[in-house]
Amino acid sequence: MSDRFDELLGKVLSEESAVEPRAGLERRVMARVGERSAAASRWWMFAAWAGELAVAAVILVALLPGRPKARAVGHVGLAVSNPAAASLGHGLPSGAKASSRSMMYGILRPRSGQASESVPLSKTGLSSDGVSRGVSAERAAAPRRSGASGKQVVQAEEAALPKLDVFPSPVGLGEHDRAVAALVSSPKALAELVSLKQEQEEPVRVAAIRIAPLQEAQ
Amino acid sequence: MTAFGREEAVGREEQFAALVERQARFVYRVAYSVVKNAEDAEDVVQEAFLKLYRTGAWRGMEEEKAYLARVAWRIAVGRVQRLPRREMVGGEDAMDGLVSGESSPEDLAMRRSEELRLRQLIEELPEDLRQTLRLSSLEEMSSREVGMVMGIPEGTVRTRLMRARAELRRRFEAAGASVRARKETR
Repeated sequence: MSDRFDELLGKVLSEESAVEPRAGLERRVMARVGERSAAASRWWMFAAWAGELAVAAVILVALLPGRPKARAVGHVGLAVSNPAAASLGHGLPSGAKASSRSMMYGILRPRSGQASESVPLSKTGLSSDGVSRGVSAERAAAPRRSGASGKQVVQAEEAALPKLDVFPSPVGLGEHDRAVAALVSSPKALAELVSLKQEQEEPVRVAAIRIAPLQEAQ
Repeated sequence: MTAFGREEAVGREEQFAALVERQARFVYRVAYSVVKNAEDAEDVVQEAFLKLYRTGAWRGMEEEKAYLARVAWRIAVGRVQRLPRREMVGGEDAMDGLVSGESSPEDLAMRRSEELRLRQLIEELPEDLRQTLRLSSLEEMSSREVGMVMGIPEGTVRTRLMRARAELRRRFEAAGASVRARKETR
């Protein structure tokens, strides 16, 4: 019985292990491998192409002229058109220095060689010759929206405004500030201001002091 | 791609084709021993070679046969675990030989019946014993190679083989005794 069992088991196992695949198995395997590898290489080519395109786009954006340095959506800017006023800088007389800080920061203080600086003054109403009121290009270029959805969009946009440079936020100009602004923007007044400053900076000329010798009391 | 790179790729493909030519049938048998179905076995072979080609692992194979068998075996086992188990005993060759005339029809029928019973018993073995038994029955697969394929020590392979055979013998004899008893009662 034992020999018969071993023989039978050997026969069954050898029959199971002697199976043959359908003809052409190798060819089918190679065909599938070739098909998949072709698909993979196509994908890699596409990925490389997309990568190159992305790099080119980044370089193009970086080199694009006139790209705004900083986002200033919703800012109302003051631009000083008179270079003399800009060049004055902190050299103003003490009266001018005493004007409101907003005015000083907004109009007179040049930053890193720039003649003008964008200041968030929403209600200045300033529109004299030397000082022009400007709205940022992004806002001006934006299409006018109407209705509730437009309002929501504007609100969302304003909510996302960047942090302001000046704190507390400057408000409308006072009478004194207006007077200073007019003074700075008027060429005549500026010339007077310059001459006044020069006078102040000139050395004080004091006439020779002559002291008569004391007469001895006899 | 440069001309050198193209030549290298072509050479690589030729080497891989030679490997497929050399081992596809063996890999098929390994797969078949697990899935017991020609269609699934071929799918396993294709998947195994595709995996090897994609990963490039086929270039660094030290023991080619054992490595390939291991890859195919893992894929096949995964496939069997995913799919519902099929009835694989019997089949179209169950009645082969009945008309061969080597022995009397009664003898042949009895022999076929015993083979069927044994196949059934192999199927009913615990999975670890069944896999070990089938892999070891494949051509030129030593216990060491079977161990490498299954990720178990060679000693464990031998132990499992002994247990599988002993278990089969016990069940086969018990089944034979019950068949004889049924005959006698008729």
